[in-house]
Amino acid sequence: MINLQKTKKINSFIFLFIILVLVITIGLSTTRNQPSQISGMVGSVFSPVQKVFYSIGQTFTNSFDLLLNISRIREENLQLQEKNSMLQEENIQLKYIVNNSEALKNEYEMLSNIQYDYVKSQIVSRDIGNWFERFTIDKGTNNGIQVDDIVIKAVKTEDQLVKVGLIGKVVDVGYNWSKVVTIDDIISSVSIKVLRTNEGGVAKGSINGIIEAFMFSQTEDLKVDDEIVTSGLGEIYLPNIYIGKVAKIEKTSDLLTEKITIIPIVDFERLYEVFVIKVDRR
Amino acid sequence: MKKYFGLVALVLISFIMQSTVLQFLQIFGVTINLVLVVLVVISLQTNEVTGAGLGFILGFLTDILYSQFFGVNSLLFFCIGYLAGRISEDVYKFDYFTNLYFVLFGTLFYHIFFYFIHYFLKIGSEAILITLTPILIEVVLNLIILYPIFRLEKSIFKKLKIN
Repeated sequence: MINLQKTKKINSFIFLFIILVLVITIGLSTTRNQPSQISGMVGSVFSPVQKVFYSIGQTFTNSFDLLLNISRIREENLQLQEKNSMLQEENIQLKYIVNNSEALKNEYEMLSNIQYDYVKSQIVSRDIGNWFERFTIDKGTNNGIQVDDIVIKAVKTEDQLVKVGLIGKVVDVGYNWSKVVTIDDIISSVSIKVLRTNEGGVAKGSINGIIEAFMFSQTEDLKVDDEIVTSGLGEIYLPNIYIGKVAKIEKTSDLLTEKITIIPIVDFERLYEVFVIKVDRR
Repeated sequence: MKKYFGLVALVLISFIMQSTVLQFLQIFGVTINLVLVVLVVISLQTNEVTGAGLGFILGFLTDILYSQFFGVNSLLFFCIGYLAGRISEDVYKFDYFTNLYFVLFGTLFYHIFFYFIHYFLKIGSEAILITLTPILIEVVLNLIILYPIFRLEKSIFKKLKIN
């Protein structure tokens, strides 16, 4: 009995000691990066297993969605076929214009030359809690991914245009996995501009997944449904990547800035395959 | 030894399920916290050392793979495992309702302290009111999933010859 009490006392001391160590670790990790070698190893082991289970989950969700949307898909298919033939026709016309205009030809060539190197990757797992929006992908340093590389996805806007939609950025890389923080996460902040007016601002994520932005100046010109893209300032995100549309505009009391709410084009809950743009920051 | 391997395997399986398949089963945008339920149930049926150890493994994995700051989840899961294991000696731990109360308080404990730690780190400090509804939904979902987990764990524990 005395021995048992002694063991309990020792356990309590060890418990308190570990708590103290962990509290200090939290404090230290706010100023330093995580031990990347350990995280790299853990991620390398878990990533392939999680990939399999994430695919299973995705397959079940897709099959369920397919069953629910089969009639809508048929209708959409007919519309797409029609659209496809229209686009083919338009494409021929555009090629004709490009080939016949020297300026456009140069621009076309320039755009072809500055295409960034990218990696297609699959999401393998998501943050287990309900507080943050983070996920891991199945590509890492073995595919040349680095911290701060940009994660994007091809998205279709309401007017049926395919655009490059911003998802977030890589914050940690292992050999065969990377950790991604989405733009609606509370630690994210993106330099933005309004596509129509070129006005600048900074967008931040929040704990409930809403993206809010502060515009650098108050203007009457800003409207609901204006398109928001990255401005390229801050040297993390490349310019002109589509973020979403303005949903709400609020004047701030300081009369200098303007607060807007953005509806992102990307559905962060339904992500499966993403692209990582490898940005050479040397 | 076989018993401990079995328990670690159980916790790891629940972690993999939580981070993959369960992410597709969101209700009102909230995911069930399977790992927390499994941790509480195992800690109750074992002791504070096992509970704290398993809690630390879970928290460590979460911190390494998803967190911005290392240690937040390790600390919280460690405390939940330890406390559930410690208090289990003074309650009738085989009763379903005992497990239910522990899961209820465990979930609330996790979120309240998660909020406070982030408050002191100055992250999302204004957000407690926004997250109140998701937290309450998660509590309800955790209590719903407790029943099958409780039954399943009973049969697994029988095979592992725990208790």
